[in-house]
Order: sequence, then C-alpha cells, then structure tokens
Amino acid sequence: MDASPDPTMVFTDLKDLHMFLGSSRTSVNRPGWEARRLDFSAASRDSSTLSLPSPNASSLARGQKRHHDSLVGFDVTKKIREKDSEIINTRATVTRLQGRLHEVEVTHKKAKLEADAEIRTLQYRQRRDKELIDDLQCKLKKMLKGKEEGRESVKSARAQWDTANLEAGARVNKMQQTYLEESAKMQEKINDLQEQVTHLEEEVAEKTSKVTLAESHTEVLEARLVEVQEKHRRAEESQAQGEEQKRQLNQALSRVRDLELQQEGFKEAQKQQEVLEAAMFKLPSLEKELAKLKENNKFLRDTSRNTQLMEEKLTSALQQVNYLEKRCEDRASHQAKAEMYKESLDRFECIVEEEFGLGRRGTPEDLQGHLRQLRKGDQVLTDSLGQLRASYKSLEDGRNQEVVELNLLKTKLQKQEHMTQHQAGQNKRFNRRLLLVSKERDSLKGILNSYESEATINYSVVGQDRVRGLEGQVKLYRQEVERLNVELQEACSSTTSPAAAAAVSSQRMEDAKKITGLEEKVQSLEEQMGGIRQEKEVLELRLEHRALKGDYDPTKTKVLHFKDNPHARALENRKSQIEKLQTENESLQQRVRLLEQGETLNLTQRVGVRVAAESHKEVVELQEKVSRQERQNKRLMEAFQRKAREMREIVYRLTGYRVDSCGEKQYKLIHMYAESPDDYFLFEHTPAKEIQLLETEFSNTIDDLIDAYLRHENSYPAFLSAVTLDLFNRQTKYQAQSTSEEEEEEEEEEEEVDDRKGNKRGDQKGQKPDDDDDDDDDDDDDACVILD
Amino acid sequence: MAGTQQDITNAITLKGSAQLVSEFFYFGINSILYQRGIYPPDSFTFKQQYGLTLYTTTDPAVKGFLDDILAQIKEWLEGGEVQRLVLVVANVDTKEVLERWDFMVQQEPGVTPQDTKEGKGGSKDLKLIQKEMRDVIRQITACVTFLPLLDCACSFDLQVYTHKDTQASEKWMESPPCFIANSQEVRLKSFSTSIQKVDTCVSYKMDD
Repeated sequence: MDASPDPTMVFTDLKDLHMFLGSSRTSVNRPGWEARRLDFSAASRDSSTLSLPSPNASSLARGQKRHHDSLVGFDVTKKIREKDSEIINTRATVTRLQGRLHEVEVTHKKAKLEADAEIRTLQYRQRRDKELIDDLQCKLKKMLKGKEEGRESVKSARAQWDTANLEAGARVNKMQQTYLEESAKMQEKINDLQEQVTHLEEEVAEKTSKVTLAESHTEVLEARLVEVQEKHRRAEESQAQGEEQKRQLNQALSRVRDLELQQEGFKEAQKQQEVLEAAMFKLPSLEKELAKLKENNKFLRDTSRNTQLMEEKLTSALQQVNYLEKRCEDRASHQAKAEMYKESLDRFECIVEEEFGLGRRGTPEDLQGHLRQLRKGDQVLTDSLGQLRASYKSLEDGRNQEVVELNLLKTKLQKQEHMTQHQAGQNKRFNRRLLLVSKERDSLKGILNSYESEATINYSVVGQDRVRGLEGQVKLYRQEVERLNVELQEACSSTTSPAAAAAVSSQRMEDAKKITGLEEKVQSLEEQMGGIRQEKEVLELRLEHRALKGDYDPTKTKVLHFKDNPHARALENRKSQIEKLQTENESLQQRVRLLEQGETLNLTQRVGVRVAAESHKEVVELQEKVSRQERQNKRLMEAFQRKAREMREIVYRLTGYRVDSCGEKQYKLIHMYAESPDDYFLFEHTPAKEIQLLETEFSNTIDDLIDAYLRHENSYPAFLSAVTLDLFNRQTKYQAQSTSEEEEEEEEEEEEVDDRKGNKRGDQKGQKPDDDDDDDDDDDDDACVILD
Repeated sequence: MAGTQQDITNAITLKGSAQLVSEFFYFGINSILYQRGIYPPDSFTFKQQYGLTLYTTTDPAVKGFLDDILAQIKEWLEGGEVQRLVLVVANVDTKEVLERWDFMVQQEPGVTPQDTKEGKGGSKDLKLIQKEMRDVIRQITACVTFLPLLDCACSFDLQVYTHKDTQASEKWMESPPCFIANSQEVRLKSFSTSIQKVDTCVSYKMDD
C-alpha cells in the first residue's frame, strides 16, 4: 500500500520478532515442563514461564492479524485476546492443578489408610507388648517374691546354721574339754597302772622268792604229810566207830520223836474228844438242820435235773424246729414247682382236649395213639391224593384225545358239507351239459342220418344240413330263450298269476328257508368253531402251563433219574436215623418204665448217668443236705465227746474214780490213788437194773469194807467213799497229820461227790439202754484220752 | 482263506452244542445248589465262568453225581434224546417237592437231523451264546429274592425227560414226575446255541 511503513508497525514487527525468539526459547523449555509436571514445587516455579508460551505458540498465525489490527489500531482487542488467552491458560492450569490436587488427595488418602492400618497394627502390637509387659511384670513380681522368700529361707537357714554352728562349736568345745579331761584321767590311770605294774613286778619278784621258799617248805611238808596220812588212817578207823554210834543215837532219837508225835496225837485226840463232846450237845439241832438242808438239796437237785432235762429237750426241740423250718421252705418251693407243673399239665391237657378231643382224662399213650392214627390217616390221604392225581391225569389225557378227535370229526363234517354243496352245483352243471350234449347228439345224429342217406359226399348238401341243424339249434336256443323270457315274465307277473306265483314263491320260500337254515347252520357252526377255537387255545395254554409244571406225554417221553441220587441218599440217611432214634427211644422208654417201677439194680451205669443228668439238681440238693447232716452229726459228736470227756474228768477229779466200760454192761473203776493199775473194781449192770460188784484181785484185799458197806448197808457210794478214804490215807500218810480241818473239808467234799454219783447212777438207771450203748462207745474212745 | 477260517471259528456242531449245554447245566445246577442253600456254603469254591464268579461244589459225592449224570446227558444231547432236565428240590422229612428247576431243551426249527449228522453247524457267535447263558445264570441268582425260604432239611434230584425208546444204563431208573401241587411258575430267559434252545423255568410251592 504505502511505501513508508508505519512506525507503529515497525515497532510491532520488532516486538513480534522478540516474541518469536522468546517463543522459540520457551518451546525448547517445553519437554522440561512436561517432565516437571509431577513436581509440584517446580511447577509453581515455572508457572511464570508457563503463562507465556501459549500466546507465543500461535504468534506466527496471529502475527498477520495483529499486524492488520495494529494497522487498524486495534491494540485494545489484542490485549483483550491476550488476556483471554491468559485466562484460558490459567483455567487450564487451574484444572491441571485441581487434577493434581485430586491425585494428591488420593495419594494422601492412601497414605492415610496405610497409616491407619499401620497405626492399628502398631496399636495391636502395643497392646500385645503391654500384655507381655504385664505378664513379665507379674512374673518379675513372682520372681521377686520367690527371691525374697528364698532370701528369708536363706536367712533362716543361715540363722539355723549359725545356731547349729554355735551349738556344734560348743559341743566340740565340750567334747574337747571332756576329751582333755578323759585323756588326763586316762593318763592318770595309765600312771597308776604303771605304778601298779611296777608294784606288781615287785610283788612278782617277791612271790618268786616266796615260791622258792615255799618249794623248800613243801619238801619239808611232804615229808610231814606222809606222817600225817598215817595218822589220818588211824583217825578214819576211829571215825567209823563213831559213826556207828551216831546211827544208833539217831535211831533212838527217831523213836523218841515218834513217841512224841504219838503223844501229840493223843493230845489232839483228847482235844477232838472235847470238841466232839461239845458238838454232841449241838447234834440234835444240827441233825434237824441237816434234814432240812437235805430236803432242800433234794429239791434243788430235782429242779436242776429238771432244768437240765428241759434244756436238752429245748435244744432238741430247737433242732427240730430248724429242721422243720427248712422242711417248710423246701415244701413251699416244692409246692410252687408242683403248681407250675400242674398248670403246664393243665395247659397241655387243654391243648390236647381242644386239638384232639381226647378229654381231660386222656393219657399220653392215648395222645400218642391218636397222633399215630392221625399220621396213618395223613398217609392214607396222601396215598389217595396221589391216586386221585394219577386218575385225574389219565382222565385229562383221555379228554385231550377226545377233543382232538372231535376237532377231526368237525373238520371232516365241514369237508363233507362242502363236498355236498359242490356236488349239487356240479350236478346242475352236468344236467345242463347233458341237455346240450343230448341236443348236439341229436344234431350229430341228424348229420349221420344225412350221411347215411347220401352216399356221396356233397359238401353243399352237408353244409346245408349243417346249416339246418344249426338253425334247429338256434331254434332250440330261441325256444329256450323264449322259455326263459316266459319264465321271466311269469316271474314278473307273479302277482298277476297267483298259482304260478304261489308255486314260485313256495319254491323261493323253500329256498330261502333252506338258505336261512343253512346260514343258521353256518353261523352255529362258526360259533361252535369259535368256541372250540377258544377252548383249544385255553387247552393249549393249559398244556403249556402243565408243560411248565413238568407235565409230559407219557406215550412219547419217559422220566429218568439216577438211582443213586442225593435225594434218595438223604432219604435213606434220614430213614436210618429215624429208625435208630426210634429204637433208642424204645429202649429208653423201657428203661424209664423200669426206673418208674423202682428196679434200679439192673440198669446200666450209662442209664444211671443219664438219670443223674436229668435229676442232677435234685441229687445235688440231696447231697448238700446229706453233707449238712453229716457235718451236724460230726459237730454233735464232737460236742458230745467234749462234754463226756469234761464230765468224766470232773467225775474223776471229784470222786477219784475213772469209770471205763469193758464188755457188755461191765464197768471198770480205777481209783486216782490206786497203788497199781491192776487195782480196780468191776461192776456189772444186770438186766434187772441192779449193780453187782464182780470179784477182782483188788476187791479181795478189802473184804472188810465190802462187808461193812455192801453186805450190811448195801450202799455203793459209801463203799466207794470208804475205799477212797482208805487209799487216800495210805498215800498221804504223813500229810494227814498236818491239819484236821482240811480233812474235814475233804470229807465233806467227798460226801457231796458221792451223793452226786449216786444221783447220777439213779439217772443212768432211768435212762434207756440205747443211750447206755452210745455212752459205751464214747467211753471207749475217751478211755485213751484220759489215760494220756 | 480268511473267509473259510471265519466260517470254521463261528461254526458250532451238534457235539459242540451238547458240550456247551451240558457245561451250562453244570454251572446252572451248582449255582442253584449254592443259592438255595441245599449244601452248606463252605462246601463250595468259586470259579470264573461266562464273565461271572460262579460257585461250584467241592463235596465229592455231589461232584461225582453231577459228573456222572452230565456225561450221560451230554451223550443224549448229542443224540437229541433229551427233552428236558429237571432239578427237583424236596423236603427230606416229608418228601414234599418244594421247587422244580426245568431246563427244557428243544431242537432249533431250522436244523434238520440230516444237517447235524453231517456235522453242519450253526453260525452263532460263541460270545453271544455265552452272554445268553450268563443272563440265565444271573436270573437264577436273582430268583433267590422271591423264592420262599427253604427252612427245612432239603435235598435235590435230577430228572431227565427223554424219548420213550432211549436206552439207559442200569444206573438209571424211571421215576415218577415230581409235580408241585400248588405251584407258581416263573419263566426265566432262554438261550440258544443255534442248534439247541434251552428254556429255563422255576416253579415253586406257593405259601398257603
């Protein structure tokens, strides 16, 4: 446009150039900006540079526009655009910063979450640590406590140790002191002993000197001894003389003593006499008292005897009661058993009554018989059943054959009917043919006649004849046709001509009847056939069924089986088993019968074992009873023996007599003070219940006592007491003089014992002879015991 | 060559068929004896046959009996004499027949006696025949589930239904047919060797 450029334009161009240069610089910086984008602080630092580049980027494009604008003078608009661009830039930066802020927030959140998680874990750890610490503290406390306790125990132990140490020290000191003292003492003793030793040595020396002296002295003494011995012999002789004199003196002295004793005895007798005289005065009253006492005694003895009897009775009664109680218990159990058996028997009987109608009084044999009959009946029935089956089978077979025959006959009948129908049709046809043939024959006859009439053969004539014949035939046919037409007409006008019509109709009726009859027949036959077919099917099915069941045609097949088959073998085995069992059963039954009859002797041991097995329980019970009884008996025997021994011992000690039985009702009495075992009495208990003294060597020596007590007084107790006294006096000659009071007491005792013995005798007399026998046996046993 | 060989392997002659059938009878009878508890289980040992574990008796008496009878039956089968073989289970005490196991032997319709005499045979696969036999024996085993319990001393007998004019040795004797009066019949599967067909049927006494 203008050649001279506008100054402003130059300026602006310059500025643009600057700007371009600047933009190029900033564009160089761009990759760095991209890299620094994540760095927040760097970004902020570059923000000043960042605001600039975008306007510079489009500076080239806008240069011209600005140029134009500047030409136009649109400085303001340019500035506005710059501002706008700035605004846009700032917005972009804002959005970018917001994005960054968001990212930062996200990262912050993540960091926070991680931190939270870490905090949680840390808290958890802290808690665990705390717990650990607590535990450890607790442990520590415990340890401390333990330590303190240990310390205390150590202290106490130390204190104890100290005290013990002190004590031990004290003891040691004491011991040392005592040791020192002892050692000092010992030393002293040793010194003493040494002194003694020296002293003794001195003494020994002295003694040895003395011994030498003594030896010399002994030699002197030996010489003297010889002399003395001689003197001694002389002295002994004189001493023997003196001893003889002394003996004489002693004898004299003993005589004197005897005499003195006699004198004393006399004096005592005198005293006794005096006492007795005094007692004689009291005697009547004493006798009275004695009588009273005797009565009392008697009464008391009776009562004691009674009580003893009662006691014995009581014990026996108690035993009986026990036995009876046991019997009662047994009886109750037996009754219960019996009731049970009865009930079962009743039930069996009821069953038998219900089942077999034998009545309640039916015995097992009846039942067996009945069963046998039933079995027989069963067998008979099975036999008859087999027979019936066989007959049924044969009948069935016959029936089958008959059915087959029936079928055959029916088919034949049908064929026959068919044949008859066929033949009727054929008949008709034959009739017609016959008619035609007869006519042909007639015509042929005519032809033959013509041949015969004409000798020569004239074909035309022949032809003419034939034509004539044929014409005749045609005529005949025509006639036939006419006839048939007439028939037709007649048939049509059957109503018009009643006679003919009637004939036709009757014929027709007959035909129809025939037809209907035939139809009916056919129908019935068809029905029959259907029925027969069904029957046949049924029979076929049955046949098949029977074939399944194993039926067969005996005419065609046979059934074979091995003779030696398992079933036959099993049956034989069973049969032999049953026979064996039956024979066994019979033998057992016989044995049972024998047993019931009580013939136990002939039975074999086996039977005995079986019976034992059967009544094992009972036998065990009985054995128990027996053993119990035996034990009881044994105990009783023992008790009895003990009692008897006691009794005899008591009697022996109280009366002085040991009573042994020897032989039949003879009793040997040996006294305690007997001088020899041959000194004994023999008493016999006669059948008249009297006691007799038998003669023995000893009894012969005491005739005076027998005379005094038995012949005159007839008192065995008194006699025995007298003997006792006599023997006692003989044994204790010297002791008898000691005291008179003892003797009195003894005498009283003996009297009592004698009385008792007398009573006992009386009891024995009262008892039965059986008891005596028992006593005898026991006595035999006891004799040795007492002798020991 | 291959074709002829194939023919030979698949061909079953009458003898082979009789062998197969008598073998089947042996295992079938043993299975019945074991399953029905006619002999104690400890008198049996097991054997693999037809892809099954089958029990066969070790009782010498029973084994001898079966061997004898099956040898004869095999002969008769070869002659086409056997119509049926019956295993009868009977109570020893009452002699009552409790079960009948019928094996009905039939000549296959397409095979003529002439063919069999000439040694021509069927063309059925042996495996197929054995499969059919296995099915029958399985059914026999399964029958235990519905057959009534044999709670008495039982024994068995084998009866052979033959032609009237069949010659038998002295060991054999004619027997009455053992029928069950009140019986229920169950047909089992049948098998065929393509020469002989064997139908199996069990009949047992109905409970009153």
